[in-house]
This record gives sequence, C-alpha cells and structure tokens, in this order.
Amino acid sequence: MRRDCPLSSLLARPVGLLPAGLLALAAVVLGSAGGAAAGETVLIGAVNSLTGRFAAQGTAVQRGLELAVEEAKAGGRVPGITLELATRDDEGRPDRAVAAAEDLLGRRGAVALAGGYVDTLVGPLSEVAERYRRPYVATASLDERLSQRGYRYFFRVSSLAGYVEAMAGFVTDHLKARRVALLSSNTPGAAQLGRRLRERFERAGVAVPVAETFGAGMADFTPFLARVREAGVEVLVANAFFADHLVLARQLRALGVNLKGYLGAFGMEFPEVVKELGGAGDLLFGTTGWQPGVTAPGTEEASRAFVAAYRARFGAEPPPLAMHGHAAGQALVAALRAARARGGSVPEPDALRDELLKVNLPHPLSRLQFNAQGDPLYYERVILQLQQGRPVVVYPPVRATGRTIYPMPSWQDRR
Amino acid sequence: MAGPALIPLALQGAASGLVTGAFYALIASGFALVFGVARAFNLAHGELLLVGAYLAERAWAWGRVHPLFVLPFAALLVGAVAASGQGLLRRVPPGPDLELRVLVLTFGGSLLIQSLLQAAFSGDYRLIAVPSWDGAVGPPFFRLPAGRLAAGAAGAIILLALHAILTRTTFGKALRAVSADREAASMMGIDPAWADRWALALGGALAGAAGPLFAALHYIKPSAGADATVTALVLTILGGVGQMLGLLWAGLAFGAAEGLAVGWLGAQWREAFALAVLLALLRWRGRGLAAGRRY
Repeated sequence: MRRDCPLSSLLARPVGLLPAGLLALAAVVLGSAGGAAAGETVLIGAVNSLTGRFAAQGTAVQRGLELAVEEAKAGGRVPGITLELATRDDEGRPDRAVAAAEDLLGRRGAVALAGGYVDTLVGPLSEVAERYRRPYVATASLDERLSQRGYRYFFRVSSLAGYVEAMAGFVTDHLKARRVALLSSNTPGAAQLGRRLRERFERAGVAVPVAETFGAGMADFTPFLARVREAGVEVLVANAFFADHLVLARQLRALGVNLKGYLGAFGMEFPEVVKELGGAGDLLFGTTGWQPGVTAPGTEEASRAFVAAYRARFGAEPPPLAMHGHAAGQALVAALRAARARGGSVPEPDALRDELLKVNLPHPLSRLQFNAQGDPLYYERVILQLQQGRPVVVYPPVRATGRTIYPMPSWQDRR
Repeated sequence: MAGPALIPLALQGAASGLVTGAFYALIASGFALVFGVARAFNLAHGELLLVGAYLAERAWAWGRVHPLFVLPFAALLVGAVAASGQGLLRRVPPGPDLELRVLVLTFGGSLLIQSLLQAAFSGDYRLIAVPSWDGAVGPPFFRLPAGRLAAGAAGAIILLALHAILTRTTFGKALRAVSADREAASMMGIDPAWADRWALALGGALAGAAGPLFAALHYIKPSAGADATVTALVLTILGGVGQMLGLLWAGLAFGAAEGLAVGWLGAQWREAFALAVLLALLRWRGRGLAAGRRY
C-alpha cells in the first residue's frame, strides 16, 4: 500500500506522455511553491502491517503515528520544515518490510523510519535502517537481542523489562503465589519473557513445575492444562497472544481447571478480547501500557486529548497499540525539532540520532527517554483485571484503580 | 512431574489427540479427494475451509445460529465455489509441467480468497463461542471438551459416509475409476472432466463442512487457511493418496501423537514428536497407512 503521494500514483497510470509531462511539470511548480511557503519537506517513513495477519495491530500503530505527525504539523512543532509521513504496508511479511524500508530510505530519502509490530518484522527493518545509517524507532518490539547488537540507529518505545517487572512483581509480591505455570508462545519476545519470568520466580522461591513453549496453530491445550492441574499450580502465566487467551480461557472452563489466577501477557487489554471472552474472561489478569482511562501519571490531559483526536479522526476507540505509534512519532518529532534548532535546513541522520538519545519528555505511554542501546528507560506495564467486562488496574498499587479479586472462584461456583 | 502421574496425563493427551485427529481427517478429506481424482494439488483448500468458517461466524454473530446448522449450507456454498474452479483447471493446457501450473493456479486462488476475506472481515481474530460446547465430558481426571468431541464425531461420521459413497455407489465407483486410471475410465464411458468437477465440488463441500467446526474450535483470521492446508497435505501423504479410511487412520495417529507429546513431554514437543511419528510411519509404510487399498 502506498499512500504518501496521490499525485505519484496518478502519474503511474498510463495517461500518455504529454499529459503525464504536464502533470509532472505542475507537480514541480506546485511542489516548489509549497516548499517555499512552508520550508523544506522532511519525510518520515512508516512501515506497518496494514493487511495480513497483523493488520489489526499494524493499523493501530499506524494511526497513532499519523496522529503524532498531524499534531506536529498542525502545531508547527518543527518550524521551517514540512513534515510528511510516507507509509508502506509490509503485509506482516519480513521480505515486504525490507523492500518497503529500502524504498523509503533509498529511493524516497526518508530521514528516519518508524513502526513495526513483532520482532520478526522489527529485526529486518532495523538492519535496513542500520545499513542506510538512518534512525529507526520501533513501535512494538521486545526481543532483547535487538538492542544488544551495538546498532547505532535502533530505538524502540517498548521493552521486555517493562513486562518482566510488572508481571514478576505482581505474581510474587502482590498475589504471593507459591506455584506457577508458564506457557509461552515460541515467538522470540514471548519465549524470552518466559525465561526471564522463570528466573525471577525461582529467585523469589516460587516453584515453576510447568514451563513450556508452544508453536503457532496450537488450539488444543487440553493435555497441557491437565499437566497444570496435576502440578497443583496456583497461577498460570500465559505469554501468549490474544487469540490464544480466547482458546485457553474457554478450555480452562470446559475442563474445570480451577486456578487462583490467570495472567495473560499480550492482548488481554484489547476490547475485542474482553468482548469475545465473555464470562470466561471474568477475573482474568492482563497487562497494558496504555489504554483510554489508563495512562502514565501526570499525562491524563494528553491521554484524553489523544482519545478525542483518535475518535474524531478514525471514528473509533483507540486500541492500546495506537499509543505506541504515537510515542514513536512524538520521539521523532522532538528529535527533529531539536536537530533543526541546532541549525541546518534538513537535519542530518546522525544529528537526528544524537537528538533521539537526548529526548526526555512525558508521554501517556511512559516517559520517553532512550538508553545508549536505544531501549526505553521508563517503559512500564500495569496489571489489569477484567471485572464484569471492564478492565480495572490492580498493580502496581500506586496506579491501581480498583481492588484485586483473588483467588478467582472455582468455575463451578461461578455457574 | 511424578512418575505415576505420567500415565493418566499421557492417556488424557492421547484421547484429546484422537478426538482432534478425527477432525484433522475431515479437514484433509476434501484435499485428498481432489488430489486423488483430479490430480490437482489444491493450495486454496484451507481458504475454502475459511469461507465456511466465516459464514458460520457471521451466522453466529447475527442470530446465534449454531455452527452445526450452518454446516450443510457452508458445504453447498463452498462446494459450488470449488466446482466453478474446474473451468479454470480445464484451461490449463496439458504438458509435462501440468501439475506445477495447477499448483500455481491454486496458489493464486488461495491468495485471492485470502485478500477477499481480509477486505470483508479485516484481520481481526474471530471465534464462535458456543455455550453448550463449553462443557466437558468424562470423569474429573479424564475430561474431553464437548466441542472437540462433537467436531471429532462429526469428522468421523462424515468420513465414514464419504467412504460408503465412494465404495458402494455407482457414482463413487466412477470417481474411483477415474482416480485409478483416467484413460481406462474414459474408454469405459466415464468422462474425466465430469469426475473432476464432482471431485472439486465434493472436495469443496468437505472443506466447507469443516469450516463451521473449525471456527468453533480455533480462532479464525484470513491467513489461518495455510495451517489447514499443511495439515491436509501431511495427512494425505500419511494416509495414502485418495484413501479415505487411510486418511481417518492418519488423522487419528497424527492427532494422538500430538496429544501424547503435549501430555507427556510438553507443548514444545508437539510438532517435532508428531513429525517424527509421521516419518516413522512413512518409513514403515511408504505408500501410506492404507497402502494396497483404494478408498
């Protein structure tokens, strides 16, 4: 999908040489006139999954990114520069993501890249950005190895540490569970989360009698849940994606496996999941970084403004991932602004990279500041519990908006 | 895990796997039939199944229509869609690389259906949560989810009925004749194009019938068809091309291997263990579990 320039798509049609030439001339004249009025155009490349298996997540990220750029343009946050977002669809495929990044950085001359959902897409994107020596701010990435390669131009707004801190603290300190089962999807981030949590649990004296990974496409968890029941597990921690929670929660109920708690790492905060889970989802725990009504302390006004802008622009409630896109966009805008203030018409990629390292601003997702490896310093997840169809923040205590209901009643008692 | 607990866990895993395996066999049946008769490797099989799945999901969302009621309609609709594909297959000119070109054609079909599903339903995950299927059957230490049991039973019944049609009716015998030798069947007055059309229609109907059950057990998304096609491909190899009972045995064996692996060794061993069993079985019976029989 190419949405950056309607004129270029018009020119791509077989309209004949003369009309095409006239249109091209008009574009040059109009383009130069626009540039004179608003300053030089600086292109930010966005690569997201707008179709394919990650379409829902990619679209949310993309929309947040678009809002950040539109806010910057409307507010004149980067004086003397006309910001443009050039969008490419990676279709959820690494080869398409690489081709899109090559096009944006090599042909279109984008000064930076943003976007990306899951590490299998973020990894290849970061390699292209590194080769072109342009900053890349990933919107949803966890794989620890990505920031340990010594890449100079790689940044991301999320990190595994945010998940580990929230989930380990919640299970050991808040629930005080003694026996935990870990089930992790075999994607790099989820599997690493499983390993880190296991280390934390065992260090805190929590037994982990069942710790397994599973591949995509597994839809019968019955034998696994029998092992969980046999092991006398109190809390099942599922580092799985939202569709897996739908299947797991239903099978837990069907088999009558009574746990004291169920904590899902990814996707439990999505409104579609809450709706699809129905009664089976009540009192399950999940994590979130941001969602309407759940925002970093001190950013309530910005959060409300984002929700209102998103509703007005897209006619829907913003999904949690939209704020990841917005955070990446804001980080880039802030760095562009700082680089521009230091001089130069169009900021050089290295100057932009240096300014990204200095970014330090409050944001509803969490304070935006990166370490030398490009990881966020303050990315925080909170634990929520689905209570009668509503997500209620229950951990950490300073962010709690409601009381933790624990242990969950047995399935028989719920009926 | 304590040693004595392993036996009931393995049993639980194997039983779950057998039930899942019967459903796997239903998923694979249409693919195997089309390959057996029309010699077409239908890479759009999983996407045809998804058409039935989305039909059931929509019916459930709109009016809480039970997937089992949607099943015959899905079978008819998808059967008709698949039969219409015969016109395309006939346009592929014969030649030494015919099978490769058919492969490319069906791959294109799979991408087309996937894109249409994406446009119509977005990439969101969807699932039919039938309350009456949320229960479980069996004693506390050995329980099977009612939904999986129903789907497994439906799979076994449909496959046995198909086996009866193919072995006991003139229609079925004509399809088998074309499958065995197209030229000889043609000389005996059976039109291979007629057989191809019916194989595609029946294969599509079987995929369509599996769709509503798939949507009630798995989550569906436009790209979910690839897994179903791979399952169908593996079971067709394991069962022996064009052999329905072999397919059922293959499904049961594959499902039981997966279930045993998860119950006994852990979820991470599911694919590896099941594929090791597949390789061992193929080494034992290289032409499939029902080698020497046709249908």
